[in-house]
Amino acid sequence: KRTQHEMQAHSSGGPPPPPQYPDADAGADNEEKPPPPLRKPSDSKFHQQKLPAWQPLLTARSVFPLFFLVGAAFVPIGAVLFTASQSVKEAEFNYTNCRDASGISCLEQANKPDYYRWLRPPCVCNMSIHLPDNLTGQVFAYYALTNFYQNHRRYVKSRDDSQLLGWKPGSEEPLQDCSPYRQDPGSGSWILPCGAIANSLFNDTFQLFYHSPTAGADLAVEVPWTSRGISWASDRERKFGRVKNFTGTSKPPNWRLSPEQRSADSFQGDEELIVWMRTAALPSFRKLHRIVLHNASSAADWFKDGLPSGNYTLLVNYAYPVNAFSGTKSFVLTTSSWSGGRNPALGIIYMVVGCLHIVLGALFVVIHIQASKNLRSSNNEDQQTIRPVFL
Amino acid sequence: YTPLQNQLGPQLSQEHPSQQSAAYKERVIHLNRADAEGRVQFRSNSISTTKYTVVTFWPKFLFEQFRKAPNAFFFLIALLQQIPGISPTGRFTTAVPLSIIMLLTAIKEVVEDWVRQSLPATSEHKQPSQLHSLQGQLVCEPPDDDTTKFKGSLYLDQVRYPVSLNQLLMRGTCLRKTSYVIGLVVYTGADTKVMKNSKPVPLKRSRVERESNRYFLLLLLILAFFTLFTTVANMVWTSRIGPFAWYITNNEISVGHFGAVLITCFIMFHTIVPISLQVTLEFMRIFQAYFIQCDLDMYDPIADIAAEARTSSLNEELGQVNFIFSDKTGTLTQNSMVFQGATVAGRMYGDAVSNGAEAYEFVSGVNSMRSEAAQGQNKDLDDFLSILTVCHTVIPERDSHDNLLEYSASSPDESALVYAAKDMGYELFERSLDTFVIVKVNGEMRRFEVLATFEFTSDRKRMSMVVRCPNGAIRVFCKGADSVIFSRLQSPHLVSETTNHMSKFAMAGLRTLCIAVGDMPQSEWSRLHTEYENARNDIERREAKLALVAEKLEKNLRLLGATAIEDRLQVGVPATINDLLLAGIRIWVLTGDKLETAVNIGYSCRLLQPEMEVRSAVAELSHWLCGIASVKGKEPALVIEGESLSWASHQSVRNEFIDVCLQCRTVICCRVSPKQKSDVVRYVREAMPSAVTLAIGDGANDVPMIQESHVGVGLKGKEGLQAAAASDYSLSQFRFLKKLLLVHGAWNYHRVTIVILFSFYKNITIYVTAFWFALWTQALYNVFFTGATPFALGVWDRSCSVENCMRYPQLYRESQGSDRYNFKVFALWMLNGVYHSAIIFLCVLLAVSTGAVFSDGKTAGLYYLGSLVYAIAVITVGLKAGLEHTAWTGMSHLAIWGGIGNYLVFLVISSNFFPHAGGNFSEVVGYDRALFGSGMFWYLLMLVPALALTRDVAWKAYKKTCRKTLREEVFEMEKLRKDPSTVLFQGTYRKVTEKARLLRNAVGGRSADASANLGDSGPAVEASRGVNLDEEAGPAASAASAASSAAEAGTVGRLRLTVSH
Repeated sequence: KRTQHEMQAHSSGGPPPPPQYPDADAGADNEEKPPPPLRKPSDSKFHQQKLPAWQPLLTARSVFPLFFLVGAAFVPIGAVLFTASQSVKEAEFNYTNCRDASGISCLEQANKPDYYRWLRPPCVCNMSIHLPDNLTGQVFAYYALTNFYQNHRRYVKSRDDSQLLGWKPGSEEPLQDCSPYRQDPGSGSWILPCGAIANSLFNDTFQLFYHSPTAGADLAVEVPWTSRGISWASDRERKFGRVKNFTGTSKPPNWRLSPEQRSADSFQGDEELIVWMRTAALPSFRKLHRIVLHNASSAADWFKDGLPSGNYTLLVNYAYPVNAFSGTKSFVLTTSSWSGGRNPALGIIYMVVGCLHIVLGALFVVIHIQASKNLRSSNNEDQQTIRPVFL
Repeated sequence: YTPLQNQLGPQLSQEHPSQQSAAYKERVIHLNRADAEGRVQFRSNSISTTKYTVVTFWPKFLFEQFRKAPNAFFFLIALLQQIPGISPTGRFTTAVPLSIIMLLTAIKEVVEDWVRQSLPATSEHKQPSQLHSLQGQLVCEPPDDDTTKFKGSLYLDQVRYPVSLNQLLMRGTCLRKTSYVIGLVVYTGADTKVMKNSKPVPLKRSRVERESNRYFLLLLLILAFFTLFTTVANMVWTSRIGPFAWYITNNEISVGHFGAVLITCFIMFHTIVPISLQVTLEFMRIFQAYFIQCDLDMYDPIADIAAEARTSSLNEELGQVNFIFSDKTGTLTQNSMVFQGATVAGRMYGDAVSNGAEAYEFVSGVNSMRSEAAQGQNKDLDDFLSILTVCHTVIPERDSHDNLLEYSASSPDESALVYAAKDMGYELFERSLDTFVIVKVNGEMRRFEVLATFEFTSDRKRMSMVVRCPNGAIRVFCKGADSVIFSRLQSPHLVSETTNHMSKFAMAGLRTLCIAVGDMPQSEWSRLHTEYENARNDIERREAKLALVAEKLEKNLRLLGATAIEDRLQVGVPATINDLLLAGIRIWVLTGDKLETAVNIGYSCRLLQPEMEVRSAVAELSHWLCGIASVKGKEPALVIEGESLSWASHQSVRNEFIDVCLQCRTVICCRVSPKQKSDVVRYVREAMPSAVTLAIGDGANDVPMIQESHVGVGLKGKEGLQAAAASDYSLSQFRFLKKLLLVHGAWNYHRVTIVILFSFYKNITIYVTAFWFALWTQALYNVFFTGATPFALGVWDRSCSVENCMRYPQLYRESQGSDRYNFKVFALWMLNGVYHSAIIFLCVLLAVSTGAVFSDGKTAGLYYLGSLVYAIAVITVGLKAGLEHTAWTGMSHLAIWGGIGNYLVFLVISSNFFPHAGGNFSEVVGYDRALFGSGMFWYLLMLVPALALTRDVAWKAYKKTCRKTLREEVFEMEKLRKDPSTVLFQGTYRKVTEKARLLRNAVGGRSADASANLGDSGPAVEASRGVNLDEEAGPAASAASAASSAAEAGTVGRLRLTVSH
């Protein structure tokens, strides 16, 4: 009404009316725009921040089915994982304190550097072991060390990948990281492979004999196994190559054999080294040592289905010193399942989390019922109620 | 300007100007004499309103950047990484990203400063050659910052002409209605009054950023703890196990070793401070600023001006505004006056009609007035309109064909009156200043001879003219404020009717002017005429003497009536102000206008409301301080004049002053200088350091205030671009402020805070796993990779819909305080990160503890564990980002799933680099097969994020069910397609909260002390007793001037307690 009057007032010679803006709430679109506006922003959904959006509403009502769903899925998954883990049979034999035939403690013998370097014949110990159950299926042999920090920062870095790939000629200087195992102090030639990891290579060797109850007490059948295939294929293919020429280089000080003596196609063929060089995450670790050959002709049909239960003798060429750092050494025989080695933790966590979710689901059902009850009652109350929560 | 009478010239010119200048230290300017004696070099006219110059850019920029704690921190890290053999990371892993971030920020600053650059100042016009021959001197005041006064004398050909503020064009003035002006430069460059009022462009940082800098210290503490703990653990390990771990060499403990390990640990754990945060924030803000500029709701189709974000670093500050300081003219109003009605001889033309709510609409009386004037019967109306047509300083401008172009007036009120009179048939036809006025009334020419003119001054508040009417009678025409007119009347005839009508006008927010007329016998005029001429020619005390003469003339007037003029508000101003008030923002108006005008505008834009107690402070401070403190029952509002405000420059009074101001619902400061505008902002900032202030204005006089406030908004208006050029954001309409604050501000605040929290959380979650690892194994380990999930959250998340933000301004309050981003929230987020990292690490650790995770019996190693932890952490963090989204746009999906996908792709690619490229990647060779080929990865992938986020989901769902915030409730209603207004409280609730909020501020502040001080120092016994009485009722009551009784104060006090729980 007012605007009408104003317009009339202006029509008869008043001041030129100021530009009339459309009402703020009415939107600007109905307005005629004579000249094409130059600075008008783009009217796309992106520019106007109106991209379509999914806006999940996370209330008790929408959350409790989710909790039930997760719970219902996790408990069975956990159960299956747990069963699979339990199906794995393993036997671990700690041979740290074993003694040789003359009763000398190998642990103390190995502490001397010349033992570790095999300058003297290593301490040989025979250990009688007993497998209570059959190990059915493919059996793997591991060695396990404890208190050994293969994850130490300087230790992990102490290697030269180019050397291991065979890309660095023996005459070329290794990485500084390898220090102090870079250069042989006597000859002055470069060490190949350099570094602390290679130098500390695990060098106990094992033989396993099965005493068959049917074949007579004296007959011991050696369990046939191989180190072929114990390392990651990717390591063999891409991290370890063939060194063409070892002349003019030195072996690591702690090694008994030179690399070419250890394997014809070092380092690619030296799978024990490759396994060792893949440093472990934790101070107690296992490393795959041998894969049992179940169909080897030498053992006839003894180990066709795995390792039978019974008595065995483990013959250890004991050289690796662990006494200094109070470590232990073990020999492990185990089968495997689709879920890996024996480790019930994952299955248990799954089941616990599943149960937790079911409990939470139930709790949120209660919360939902309670909340909708409150809402109904507050709707019935006086609308004027002050609700201080909004202040 | 007109020179003074020539006869005065010789007499005055005997006094040599240079003698005078020596005595007063004045500025002497010689015209066209570059070789003049005693000539001084004045300043160059070039000014710079930019933040940087070419020379100061790098030092200033680097200072500003390294003032940000994170940047300084990363610089230190980058330096430490240069020490060989100690850093667990590469030498340039920090230096390169830091340099890139610095470079990007520098580019952003340069671009923003470029936009801020001022326009060329000196006109390119060539001056007419005859001006070169002009000789003379101008003697005037030295440069100062007072824009309200200027005095000087111009000596031309031995004639002295006084010059005053009327002859001074300030820098930044826009020329209108003329294509050129011939002038003399008085002040240049930095000496100009405008520049004297301005300050260097301040370096503004948002509150969130300032707080983040503080929280950063918390992170440093965590970092220090991790570093020290790990270092000590390393020392313990090295001393106890190291000597025996023969396979690791160099295990001796020494000071050097300790230092090296300390630095190593420090560098390793520094990754918990997200380096990407700075660059994420910078880019995010650029996008946010871009969206502000793109907003069609803030685009003015008529002026073709879109909103402009001149800085992007304050986007989130827009969501926290507590105070708005607004200019009036050109900001709230269009500065165009429209005649709406009048009261003449007791008859009212037009009426104020209640529109239902508290507001009044005014129905224009122009039509009825016109028709009555056309009849020509009403003598009073004839006089009334004659005065409107004659008594003014308006000049009609005609083109070459003698067609009226327009009326040229210095005041828009006057031109509105003259136009209105013309509309009613009284056309101002011709006017010669100080000589005659010809008025065309219905075709008949009437000539009024002008005998004397007493111009309008703010002190006199009226304008008078002595004219000889066509019939020969001498009359005094007078128009002015009611207060001054009423006291000069012959009789109280019509006063009560007129007052009654005027209060109706005022209710509708109209500006009023009283019109009165007086008759003067010829004899009296002859006597006064001489006095008038003498006064006019007095140079030193011209104004005072003229005022004295006017006093003698303006007597025995007869009241005719009053006019009502609408100072037209900009579109949507009252609604916008109402919504901003609802949003919990306090609005103060700072204007150079006079008090009455300011109060009128206050009413018409609903800032002042009828139920409010409006107190004007014009006298001494102590009086009105007590006055405010004793206001009961009504909400107080304060109107204060610049003169009174100058009292507040004394520190002792200022605290009380600000406390009183803060207790008022609104404050209007009128007749304030640009400097005072910025002073007011500064006082509030000092009194309430946590409050965020916003200043909005359109003129050069608003620049100091715009620069002083946390956020400066400039309107691109008629008054030039100075304000917009100095501002942080520029708009073209006041009403756009609503969307800028309620939508962009609220969103950006939500976005920026969540991104900061999330970024810190993310890095803690990922990198604290390294600490768990170190704790577990006492060895060190490092992972490197960063995702950019926060970006989508910071650019595309929408915390509530535009419609709801705009419809329910109350939602703004949520972002205003620091409820959503404070130390506790920050610490809890960090704790959550630590918790998540622990869950992730423990689960992975337990699952792969034996290392035999493959079905083919092979063992995994150190980097397998690392990759697994990292992969699971990346996925958990990505899902957590999803959980924090309130709106999943396509961008969110892209960022979250794309981010996780990116990592997996990165894993595949990096697993296949070596040995052909990238020696750094030798450790991860074959990890794609190892991870994706082992069931372990997939089992953990399902398990760990679900477990880690269980707490978050459960807590969120609980809060959104049982302890909803207003925003969540509105959001839920919107989702369920219910009307959200049912959860908002109308009527009583709003009032109570408003009061409670005032109380909270009052009680929380120092007002209690202030009232006590007031009691001690107040000169008025009654007032001080009143305060003491209040104190007995408890501190809440004493502070709360809004509380009408002790009982009510008690209620509100209880309310406040509930709130603080």
